[in-house]
Amino acid sequence: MKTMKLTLAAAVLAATGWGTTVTAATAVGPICDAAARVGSTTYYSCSGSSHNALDISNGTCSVWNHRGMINVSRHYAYYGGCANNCSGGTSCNGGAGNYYVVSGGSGWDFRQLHLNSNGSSRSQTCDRCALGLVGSTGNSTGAHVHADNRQYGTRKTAWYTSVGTTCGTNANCSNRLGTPTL
Amino acid sequence: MVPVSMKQAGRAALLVVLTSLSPLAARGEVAIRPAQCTVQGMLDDVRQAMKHGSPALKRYVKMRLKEAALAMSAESLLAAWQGERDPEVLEALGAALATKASNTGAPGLIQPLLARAVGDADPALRAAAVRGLRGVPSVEFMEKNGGVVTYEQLVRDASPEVRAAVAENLVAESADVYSGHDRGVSEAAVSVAAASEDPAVAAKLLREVSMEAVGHEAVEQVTRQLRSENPELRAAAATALGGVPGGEAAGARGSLVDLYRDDKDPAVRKAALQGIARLGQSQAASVLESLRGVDRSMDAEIDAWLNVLKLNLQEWELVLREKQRLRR
Ligand SMILES: [Zn+2]
Repeated sequence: MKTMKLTLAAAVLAATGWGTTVTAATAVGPICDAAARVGSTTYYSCSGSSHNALDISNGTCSVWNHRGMINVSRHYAYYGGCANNCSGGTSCNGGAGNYYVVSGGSGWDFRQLHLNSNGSSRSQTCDRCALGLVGSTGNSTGAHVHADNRQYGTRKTAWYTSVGTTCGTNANCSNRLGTPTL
Repeated sequence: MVPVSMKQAGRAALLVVLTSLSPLAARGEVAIRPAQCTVQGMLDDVRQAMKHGSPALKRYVKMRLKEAALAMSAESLLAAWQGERDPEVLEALGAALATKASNTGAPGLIQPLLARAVGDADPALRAAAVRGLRGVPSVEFMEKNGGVVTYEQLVRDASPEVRAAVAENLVAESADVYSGHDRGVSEAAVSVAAASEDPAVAAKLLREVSMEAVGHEAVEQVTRQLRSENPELRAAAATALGGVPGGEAAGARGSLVDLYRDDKDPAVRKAALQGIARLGQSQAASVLESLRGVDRSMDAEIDAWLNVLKLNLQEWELVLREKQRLRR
Protein backbone atom coordinates (compact mmCIF):
# COMPACT_ATOMS: atom_id res chain seq x y z
CA MET A 1 0.00 0.00 0.00
CA LYS A 2 2.79 2.37 0.97
CA THR A 3 4.60 1.72 -2.31
CA MET A 4 1.50 2.57 -4.27
CA LYS A 5 1.06 5.87 -2.42
CA LEU A 6 4.67 6.84 -3.03
CA THR A 7 4.38 5.98 -6.72
CA LEU A 8 1.32 8.19 -7.14
CA ALA A 9 3.00 11.09 -5.37
CA ALA A 10 6.03 10.74 -7.62
CA ALA A 11 3.81 10.76 -10.73
CA VAL A 12 2.11 13.98 -9.64
CA LEU A 13 5.46 15.64 -8.97
CA ALA A 14 6.90 14.53 -12.28
CA ALA A 15 4.11 16.33 -14.06
CA THR A 16 4.91 19.65 -12.40
CA GLY A 17 8.65 19.68 -12.05
CA TRP A 18 11.54 18.07 -10.33
CA GLY A 19 11.21 17.69 -6.58
CA THR A 20 13.32 15.97 -3.98
CA THR A 21 12.12 12.39 -3.90
CA VAL A 22 13.70 9.61 -1.91
CA THR A 23 13.74 5.90 -2.68
CA ALA A 24 14.74 2.70 -0.96
CA ALA A 25 18.10 1.57 -2.32
CA THR A 26 19.63 -1.86 -1.76
CA ALA A 27 22.93 -2.20 0.09
CA VAL A 28 25.02 -5.37 -0.25
CA GLY A 29 28.10 -6.46 1.68
CA PRO A 30 31.23 -4.33 1.09
CA ILE A 31 33.75 -7.21 1.03
CA CYS A 32 33.69 -9.96 -1.63
CA ASP A 33 34.80 -12.64 0.84
CA ALA A 34 32.59 -15.41 2.21
CA ALA A 35 34.24 -14.83 5.61
CA ALA A 36 32.88 -11.27 5.91
CA ARG A 37 30.52 -10.88 8.88
CA VAL A 38 28.49 -8.18 10.59
CA GLY A 39 30.03 -7.51 14.02
CA SER A 40 27.98 -4.59 15.38
CA THR A 41 24.55 -3.21 14.60
CA THR A 42 22.35 -0.99 16.78
CA TYR A 43 24.66 -1.70 19.75
CA TYR A 44 28.43 -2.38 19.63
CA SER A 45 28.86 -6.17 19.38
CA CYS A 46 25.04 -6.24 19.61
CA SER A 47 25.12 -5.76 23.41
CA GLY A 48 27.28 -2.70 24.16
CA SER A 49 26.60 1.01 23.83
CA SER A 50 24.61 2.67 21.09
CA HIS A 51 26.00 2.51 17.53
CA ASN A 52 23.04 2.61 15.07
CA ALA A 53 25.08 1.42 12.10
CA LEU A 54 26.69 -1.73 10.69
CA ASP A 55 30.30 -2.73 11.30
CA ILE A 56 31.55 -5.38 8.89
CA SER A 57 34.84 -7.24 8.91
CA ASN A 58 36.53 -10.31 7.49
CA GLY A 59 39.40 -10.30 9.97
CA THR A 60 41.99 -8.83 7.59
CA CYS A 61 43.50 -5.37 7.14
CA SER A 62 44.63 -3.59 3.97
CA VAL A 63 44.20 -6.75 1.88
CA TRP A 64 40.60 -6.89 0.64
CA ASN A 65 38.80 -4.26 -1.41
CA HIS A 66 36.36 -2.04 0.43
CA ARG A 67 33.56 -1.84 -2.17
CA GLY A 68 30.62 0.48 -2.71
CA MET A 69 27.57 -1.15 -1.09
CA ILE A 70 24.68 0.36 -3.09
CA ASN A 71 23.83 -2.09 -5.86
CA VAL A 72 23.21 0.45 -8.62
CA SER A 73 25.38 3.28 -9.97
CA ARG A 74 25.66 6.07 -7.39
CA HIS A 75 28.05 8.95 -6.79
CA TYR A 76 30.51 8.28 -3.93
CA ALA A 77 32.09 11.51 -2.66
CA TYR A 78 35.50 10.78 -1.08
CA TYR A 79 36.91 12.39 2.05
CA GLY A 80 40.51 11.21 2.46
CA GLY A 81 43.76 12.43 3.90
CA CYS A 82 44.18 9.91 6.73
CA ALA A 83 47.30 7.73 6.82
CA ASN A 84 46.57 4.04 6.35
CA ASN A 85 46.25 2.26 9.64
CA CYS A 86 45.44 -1.22 10.96
CA SER A 87 44.87 -0.43 14.63
CA GLY A 88 42.97 2.85 14.53
CA GLY A 89 42.26 5.13 17.47
CA THR A 90 42.90 8.42 15.65
CA SER A 91 40.64 11.45 15.31
CA CYS A 92 41.34 11.92 11.59
CA ASN A 93 38.31 13.42 9.80
CA GLY A 94 36.46 13.63 13.10
CA GLY A 95 37.01 9.92 13.71
CA ALA A 96 35.50 8.82 10.39
CA GLY A 97 38.95 8.23 8.88
CA ASN A 98 38.94 7.99 5.08
CA TYR A 99 35.31 7.75 4.04
CA TYR A 100 32.68 8.02 1.33
CA VAL A 101 29.27 9.67 1.28
CA VAL A 102 26.40 8.93 -1.11
CA SER A 103 24.00 11.92 -0.95
CA GLY A 104 20.30 11.25 -1.44
CA GLY A 105 17.30 13.57 -1.23
CA SER A 106 15.66 15.28 1.78
CA GLY A 107 18.81 15.18 3.90
CA TRP A 108 19.40 11.45 3.56
CA ASP A 109 22.85 9.99 3.00
CA PHE A 110 24.70 6.68 3.14
CA ARG A 111 28.28 6.56 4.40
CA GLN A 112 31.12 4.01 4.42
CA LEU A 113 33.94 4.73 6.88
CA HIS A 114 37.48 3.82 7.98
CA LEU A 115 38.96 2.58 4.70
CA ASN A 116 42.64 2.46 3.90
CA SER A 117 43.24 4.35 0.67
CA ASN A 118 44.79 3.03 -2.52
CA GLY A 119 44.81 4.03 -6.21
CA SER A 120 41.01 3.55 -6.36
CA SER A 121 40.28 6.05 -3.59
CA ARG A 122 38.71 9.16 -5.11
CA SER A 123 35.25 10.63 -5.67
CA GLN A 124 33.60 8.52 -8.34
CA THR A 125 30.28 7.34 -9.72
CA CYS A 126 30.03 3.58 -9.94
CA ASP A 127 28.14 0.39 -9.15
CA ARG A 128 29.70 -1.65 -6.31
CA CYS A 129 33.21 -0.70 -7.42
CA ALA A 130 36.42 -0.95 -5.38
CA LEU A 131 36.77 2.26 -3.35
CA GLY A 132 39.90 1.40 -1.39
CA LEU A 133 40.98 -1.30 1.09
CA VAL A 134 39.30 -2.56 4.25
CA GLY A 135 41.22 -0.63 6.91
CA SER A 136 41.11 1.08 10.27
CA THR A 137 41.57 4.82 9.74
CA GLY A 138 39.96 7.21 12.24
CA ASN A 139 38.30 6.18 15.47
CA SER A 140 38.26 2.46 14.78
CA THR A 141 39.50 -0.53 16.73
CA GLY A 142 40.61 -2.98 14.08
CA ALA A 143 39.97 -3.04 10.35
CA HIS A 144 36.32 -2.97 9.35
CA VAL A 145 33.74 -1.17 7.24
CA HIS A 146 31.32 1.06 9.12
CA ALA A 147 28.13 1.73 7.13
CA ASP A 148 25.35 4.08 8.16
CA ASN A 149 22.22 5.66 6.70
CA ARG A 150 21.40 9.08 8.11
CA GLN A 151 18.79 11.79 7.68
CA TYR A 152 20.04 15.30 8.46
CA GLY A 153 22.94 13.70 10.31
CA THR A 154 20.92 11.31 12.50
CA ARG A 155 21.69 7.61 12.10
CA LYS A 156 18.66 5.44 11.35
CA THR A 157 18.38 1.71 11.98
CA ALA A 158 15.34 0.58 9.98
CA TRP A 159 17.41 0.06 6.80
CA TYR A 160 19.10 -3.04 8.25
CA THR A 161 16.70 -4.16 11.00
CA SER A 162 13.92 -4.40 8.42
CA VAL A 163 15.77 -7.15 6.54
CA GLY A 164 16.94 -9.01 9.66
CA THR A 165 20.62 -8.09 9.51
CA THR A 166 22.25 -8.67 12.91
CA CYS A 167 25.58 -9.70 14.47
CA GLY A 168 26.93 -12.73 12.63
CA THR A 169 25.03 -12.05 9.38
CA ASN A 170 27.18 -13.04 6.41
CA ALA A 171 28.34 -9.81 4.78
CA ASN A 172 29.76 -11.18 1.54
CA CYS A 173 29.20 -8.78 -1.37
CA SER A 174 26.55 -11.05 -2.88
CA ASN A 175 24.33 -10.68 0.21
CA ARG A 176 21.83 -7.91 0.85
CA LEU A 177 22.44 -6.23 4.21
CA GLY A 178 19.80 -3.53 4.05
CA THR A 179 17.60 -1.11 2.16
CA PRO A 180 18.89 2.39 2.95
CA THR A 181 16.82 5.44 2.05
CA LEU A 182 18.47 7.81 -0.40
CA MET B 1 19.41 19.97 -43.14
CA VAL B 2 21.94 17.25 -43.89
CA PRO B 3 20.95 14.95 -46.76
CA VAL B 4 20.00 11.46 -45.64
CA SER B 5 22.84 9.78 -47.52
CA MET B 6 25.38 12.04 -45.82
CA LYS B 7 23.89 11.22 -42.44
CA GLN B 8 24.20 7.53 -43.18
CA ALA B 9 27.76 7.90 -44.39
CA GLY B 10 28.58 9.82 -41.23
CA ARG B 11 27.07 7.08 -39.12
CA ALA B 12 29.02 4.39 -40.96
CA ALA B 13 32.26 6.31 -40.48
CA LEU B 14 31.61 6.77 -36.78
CA LEU B 15 30.80 3.10 -36.44
CA VAL B 16 34.20 2.24 -37.90
CA VAL B 17 35.98 4.73 -35.64
CA LEU B 18 34.25 3.51 -32.49
CA THR B 19 34.64 -0.16 -33.30
CA SER B 20 38.36 0.29 -33.84
CA LEU B 21 38.60 2.26 -30.58
CA SER B 22 37.36 -0.72 -28.66
CA PRO B 23 40.30 -2.53 -27.06
CA LEU B 24 38.36 -5.79 -27.03
CA ALA B 25 36.84 -5.88 -30.48
CA ALA B 26 39.91 -7.37 -32.10
CA ARG B 27 39.99 -10.42 -29.85
CA GLY B 28 37.67 -13.07 -31.16
CA GLU B 29 38.07 -15.96 -28.73
CA VAL B 30 35.09 -17.06 -26.65
CA ALA B 31 35.77 -18.70 -23.31
CA ILE B 32 34.19 -22.06 -22.52
CA ARG B 33 31.62 -21.79 -19.75
CA PRO B 34 29.07 -24.05 -18.09
CA ALA B 35 26.10 -24.45 -20.43
CA GLN B 36 23.52 -22.85 -18.14
CA CYS B 37 25.60 -19.73 -17.66
CA THR B 38 26.72 -18.78 -21.16
CA VAL B 39 25.88 -15.39 -22.57
CA GLN B 40 23.83 -17.04 -25.32
CA GLY B 41 21.92 -19.19 -22.82
CA MET B 42 21.00 -16.14 -20.77
CA LEU B 43 20.10 -14.14 -23.85
CA ASP B 44 17.77 -16.92 -24.98
CA ASP B 45 16.04 -16.64 -21.60
CA VAL B 46 15.71 -12.88 -22.06
CA ARG B 47 14.38 -13.40 -25.59
CA GLN B 48 11.76 -15.90 -24.39
CA ALA B 49 10.70 -13.75 -21.44
CA MET B 50 10.34 -10.64 -23.62
CA LYS B 51 8.01 -12.57 -25.96
CA HIS B 52 5.90 -14.50 -23.46
CA GLY B 53 6.84 -13.49 -19.92
CA SER B 54 5.08 -11.48 -17.24
CA PRO B 55 6.46 -8.03 -16.36
CA ALA B 56 8.05 -9.56 -13.25
CA LEU B 57 9.79 -12.28 -15.27
CA LYS B 58 11.02 -9.68 -17.76
CA ARG B 59 12.54 -7.63 -14.95
CA TYR B 60 14.06 -10.75 -13.41
CA VAL B 61 15.81 -12.06 -16.54
CA LYS B 62 17.23 -8.63 -17.31
CA MET B 63 18.48 -8.24 -13.75
CA ARG B 64 19.98 -11.74 -13.81
CA LEU B 65 21.81 -11.01 -17.05
CA LYS B 66 23.16 -7.77 -15.59
CA GLU B 67 24.42 -9.48 -12.44
CA ALA B 68 25.88 -12.45 -14.31
CA ALA B 69 27.63 -10.08 -16.71
CA LEU B 70 29.73 -8.74 -13.83
CA ALA B 71 31.49 -12.11 -13.77
CA MET B 72 31.43 -12.85 -17.52
CA SER B 73 34.18 -11.91 -19.93
CA ALA B 74 33.68 -8.65 -21.75
CA GLU B 75 34.65 -10.41 -25.00
CA SER B 76 31.72 -12.81 -24.83
CA LEU B 77 29.27 -9.97 -24.14
CA LEU B 78 30.69 -7.84 -26.93
CA ALA B 79 30.50 -10.72 -29.41
CA ALA B 80 26.81 -11.20 -28.57
CA TRP B 81 26.22 -7.45 -28.83
CA GLN B 82 27.53 -7.20 -32.39
CA GLY B 83 25.09 -9.78 -33.75
CA GLU B 84 21.96 -8.86 -31.76
CA ARG B 85 18.99 -7.51 -33.76
CA ASP B 86 16.11 -7.69 -31.25
CA PRO B 87 15.64 -4.25 -29.62
CA GLU B 88 14.56 -5.56 -26.20
CA VAL B 89 17.39 -8.07 -26.01
CA LEU B 90 19.84 -5.46 -27.25
CA GLU B 91 18.73 -3.06 -24.51
CA ALA B 92 19.16 -5.74 -21.84
CA LEU B 93 22.60 -6.66 -23.15
CA GLY B 94 23.54 -2.99 -23.34
CA ALA B 95 22.45 -2.45 -19.74
CA ALA B 96 24.62 -5.42 -18.74
CA LEU B 97 27.66 -3.94 -20.52
CA ALA B 98 27.04 -0.50 -19.06
CA THR B 99 26.70 -1.91 -15.54
CA LYS B 100 29.92 -3.83 -15.99
CA ALA B 101 31.58 -0.59 -17.11
CA SER B 102 30.32 1.15 -13.97
CA ASN B 103 31.42 -1.72 -11.74
CA THR B 104 34.94 -2.04 -13.13
CA GLY B 105 35.63 1.63 -13.91
CA ALA B 106 35.99 0.82 -17.62
CA PRO B 107 34.04 3.42 -19.61
CA GLY B 108 35.46 1.94 -22.83
CA LEU B 109 32.96 -0.90 -22.46
CA ILE B 110 30.13 1.38 -23.58
CA GLN B 111 31.79 2.24 -26.91
CA PRO B 112 29.81 -0.44 -28.78
CA LEU B 113 26.60 1.06 -27.34
CA LEU B 114 27.60 4.53 -28.53
CA ALA B 115 28.49 3.19 -31.97
CA ARG B 116 25.13 1.47 -32.28
CA ALA B 117 23.21 4.46 -30.85
CA VAL B 118 24.57 6.70 -33.55
CA GLY B 119 25.22 4.23 -36.35
CA ASP B 120 22.59 1.52 -36.63
CA ALA B 121 20.31 1.92 -39.64
CA ASP B 122 17.29 0.69 -37.62
CA PRO B 123 15.85 3.43 -35.37
CA ALA B 124 14.45 0.85 -32.91
CA LEU B 125 17.97 -0.51 -32.38
CA ARG B 126 19.48 2.96 -32.05
CA ALA B 127 16.88 3.74 -29.35
CA ALA B 128 17.55 0.41 -27.62
CA ALA B 129 21.28 1.18 -27.54
CA VAL B 130 20.54 4.57 -25.95
CA ARG B 131 18.22 2.99 -23.38
CA GLY B 132 20.98 0.51 -22.48
CA LEU B 133 22.87 3.48 -21.00
CA ARG B 134 20.13 4.31 -18.50
CA GLY B 135 21.06 4.39 -14.81
CA VAL B 136 24.84 4.53 -15.24
CA PRO B 137 27.06 7.66 -15.28
CA SER B 138 26.62 7.88 -19.05
CA VAL B 139 27.37 11.60 -19.38
CA GLU B 140 30.74 11.10 -17.67
CA PHE B 141 31.38 7.92 -19.67
CA MET B 142 30.71 9.71 -22.98
CA GLU B 143 33.24 12.40 -22.03
CA LYS B 144 35.77 9.76 -21.03
CA ASN B 145 35.31 8.16 -24.45
CA GLY B 146 36.47 11.41 -26.01
CA GLY B 147 33.06 12.99 -26.63
CA VAL B 148 32.90 11.18 -30.01
CA VAL B 149 29.20 10.59 -29.34
CA THR B 150 27.19 13.00 -27.15
CA TYR B 151 23.57 13.34 -26.12
CA GLU B 152 23.50 16.71 -27.96
CA GLN B 153 24.12 14.75 -31.12
CA LEU B 154 21.75 11.88 -30.28
CA VAL B 155 18.86 14.23 -29.48
CA ARG B 156 18.88 15.37 -33.12
CA ASP B 157 18.16 11.83 -34.35
CA ALA B 158 15.44 11.61 -36.99
CA SER B 159 13.59 9.04 -34.85
CA PRO B 160 11.33 10.33 -32.05
CA GLU B 161 11.98 7.08 -30.16
CA VAL B 162 15.70 7.85 -29.99
CA ARG B 163 15.07 11.45 -28.92
CA ALA B 164 12.69 10.31 -26.17
CA ALA B 165 15.25 7.78 -24.94
CA VAL B 166 17.85 10.56 -24.66
CA ALA B 167 15.52 12.66 -22.47
CA GLU B 168 14.54 9.69 -20.32
CA ASN B 169 18.20 8.74 -19.75
CA LEU B 170 19.16 12.23 -18.60
CA VAL B 171 16.13 12.54 -16.32
CA ALA B 172 16.85 9.12 -14.77
CA GLU B 173 20.58 9.75 -14.46
CA SER B 174 20.13 13.05 -12.66
CA ALA B 175 17.53 11.67 -10.25
CA ASP B 176 18.57 8.05 -9.66
CA VAL B 177 22.37 8.19 -9.86
CA TYR B 178 22.92 11.61 -8.29
CA SER B 179 19.65 12.46 -6.46
CA GLY B 180 19.68 15.69 -8.47
CA HIS B 181 23.00 16.91 -7.04
CA ASP B 182 25.27 16.59 -10.08
CA ARG B 183 26.18 19.76 -11.94
CA GLY B 184 27.58 17.94 -14.98
CA VAL B 185 24.43 15.94 -15.74
CA SER B 186 22.12 18.94 -15.15
CA GLU B 187 24.20 21.16 -17.41
CA ALA B 188 24.31 18.42 -20.04
CA ALA B 189 20.50 18.27 -19.91
CA VAL B 190 20.29 22.05 -20.41
CA SER B 191 22.66 21.86 -23.39
CA VAL B 192 20.76 18.94 -24.87
CA ALA B 193 17.49 20.87 -24.49
CA ALA B 194 19.10 23.80 -26.32
CA ALA B 195 20.38 21.50 -29.08
CA SER B 196 17.04 19.73 -29.49
CA GLU B 197 14.79 20.59 -32.40
CA ASP B 198 11.99 18.65 -30.69
CA PRO B 199 10.25 21.04 -28.24
CA ALA B 200 8.53 18.23 -26.32
CA VAL B 201 11.90 16.59 -25.59
CA ALA B 202 13.49 19.90 -24.61
CA ALA B 203 10.52 20.66 -22.35
CA LYS B 204 10.72 17.28 -20.62
CA LEU B 205 14.42 17.86 -19.87
CA LEU B 206 13.92 21.33 -18.42
CA ARG B 207 10.83 20.34 -16.46
CA GLU B 208 12.16 17.13 -14.92
CA VAL B 209 15.92 17.48 -14.45
CA SER B 210 17.13 19.06 -11.21
CA MET B 211 18.70 22.52 -11.60
CA GLU B 212 20.02 22.72 -8.04
CA ALA B 213 23.71 22.65 -9.03
CA VAL B 214 23.86 24.41 -12.41
CA GLY B 215 26.18 27.35 -13.11
CA HIS B 216 25.47 30.79 -14.54
CA GLU B 217 25.90 29.82 -18.18
CA ALA B 218 23.28 27.08 -17.91
CA VAL B 219 20.87 29.52 -16.24
CA GLU B 220 21.34 31.85 -19.22
CA GLN B 221 20.68 28.97 -21.61
CA VAL B 222 17.45 28.14 -19.78
CA THR B 223 16.46 31.84 -19.72
CA ARG B 224 16.79 32.00 -23.51
CA GLN B 225 14.21 29.20 -23.78
CA LEU B 226 11.64 31.58 -22.22
CA ARG B 227 11.46 33.13 -25.71
CA SER B 228 10.70 29.85 -27.48
CA GLU B 229 7.76 29.82 -29.86
CA ASN B 230 6.49 26.71 -28.09
CA PRO B 231 4.42 27.42 -24.94
CA GLU B 232 5.16 23.99 -23.42
CA LEU B 233 8.88 24.73 -23.65
CA ARG B 234 8.48 28.23 -22.22
CA ALA B 235 6.55 26.80 -19.27
CA ALA B 236 9.22 24.13 -18.75
CA ALA B 237 11.97 26.76 -18.79
CA ALA B 238 10.04 28.72 -16.14
CA THR B 239 9.75 25.59 -14.01
CA ALA B 240 13.51 25.01 -14.39
CA LEU B 241 14.35 28.58 -13.37
CA GLY B 242 12.44 28.00 -10.15
CA GLY B 243 14.99 25.36 -9.18
CA VAL B 244 18.29 27.17 -9.77
CA PRO B 245 20.85 27.68 -6.94
CA GLY B 246 20.55 30.60 -4.50
CA GLY B 247 23.25 32.65 -6.19
CA GLU B 248 21.22 32.67 -9.40
CA ALA B 249 17.87 33.31 -7.73
CA ALA B 250 17.71 37.11 -8.14
CA GLY B 251 18.28 36.99 -11.90
CA ALA B 252 15.90 34.09 -12.35
CA ARG B 253 13.21 35.85 -10.32
CA GLY B 254 13.51 38.93 -12.53
CA SER B 255 13.17 36.81 -15.67
CA LEU B 256 10.09 35.07 -14.27
CA VAL B 257 8.42 38.35 -13.30
CA ASP B 258 8.98 39.68 -16.84
CA LEU B 259 7.66 36.42 -18.26
CA TYR B 260 4.53 36.64 -16.12
CA ARG B 261 3.87 40.21 -17.25
CA ASP B 262 4.52 39.63 -20.97
CA ASP B 263 3.48 36.07 -21.80
CA LYS B 264 -0.25 35.67 -22.54
CA ASP B 265 -0.29 31.86 -22.29
CA PRO B 266 -2.04 30.75 -19.06
CA ALA B 267 0.10 27.60 -18.61
CA VAL B 268 3.27 29.67 -18.98
CA ARG B 269 2.01 32.23 -16.47
CA LYS B 270 1.12 29.45 -14.07
CA ALA B 271 4.63 28.01 -14.36
CA ALA B 272 6.14 31.46 -13.83
CA LEU B 273 4.23 31.82 -10.54
CA GLN B 274 5.37 28.38 -9.42
CA GLY B 275 8.97 29.28 -10.24
CA ILE B 276 8.74 32.53 -8.25
CA ALA B 277 7.22 30.67 -5.29
CA ARG B 278 10.00 28.09 -5.35
CA LEU B 279 12.89 30.53 -5.69
CA GLY B 280 12.58 32.32 -2.41
CA GLN B 281 10.17 31.79 0.39
CA SER B 282 10.69 35.16 2.10
CA GLN B 283 10.83 37.26 -1.07
CA ALA B 284 8.27 35.23 -2.93
CA ALA B 285 5.21 36.63 -1.11
CA SER B 286 5.89 40.31 -1.90
CA VAL B 287 6.77 39.53 -5.53
CA LEU B 288 3.60 37.46 -5.95
CA GLU B 289 1.52 40.24 -4.35
CA SER B 290 2.97 42.73 -6.83
CA LEU B 291 1.73 40.61 -9.73
CA ARG B 292 -1.88 40.66 -8.65
CA GLY B 293 -4.06 42.35 -11.26
CA VAL B 294 -1.72 41.74 -14.21
CA ASP B 295 -4.08 38.95 -15.32
CA ARG B 296 -7.33 38.75 -13.31
CA SER B 297 -7.89 35.14 -14.28
CA MET B 298 -4.60 34.20 -12.56
CA ASP B 299 -5.21 35.99 -9.26
CA ALA B 300 -6.73 32.88 -7.66
CA GLU B 301 -3.51 31.07 -8.50
CA ILE B 302 -1.50 33.81 -6.78
CA ASP B 303 -3.75 33.54 -3.71
CA ALA B 304 -3.22 29.79 -3.55
CA TRP B 305 0.55 30.25 -3.53
CA LEU B 306 0.38 32.97 -0.88
CA ASN B 307 -1.71 30.69 1.34
CA VAL B 308 0.74 27.81 0.97
CA LEU B 309 3.78 30.00 1.63
CA LYS B 310 2.23 31.15 4.93
CA LEU B 311 2.51 27.55 6.18
CA ASN B 312 6.32 27.83 6.24
CA LEU B 313 6.81 24.29 4.98
CA GLN B 314 10.52 23.57 4.83
CA GLU B 315 10.75 21.36 1.76
CA TRP B 316 9.74 22.19 -1.77
CA GLU B 317 8.09 18.78 -2.24
CA LEU B 318 5.74 19.55 0.66
CA VAL B 319 5.05 23.08 -0.58
CA LEU B 320 4.19 21.80 -4.04
CA ARG B 321 1.97 19.01 -2.74
CA GLU B 322 0.05 21.42 -0.52
CA LYS B 323 -0.40 23.84 -3.43
CA GLN B 324 -1.74 21.02 -5.60
CA ARG B 325 -4.14 20.06 -2.83
CA LEU B 326 -5.49 23.64 -2.70
CA ARG B 327 -5.58 24.24 -6.45
CA ARG B 328 -4.50 22.05 -9.35
ZN1 LIG C 1 30.81 1.53 13.39
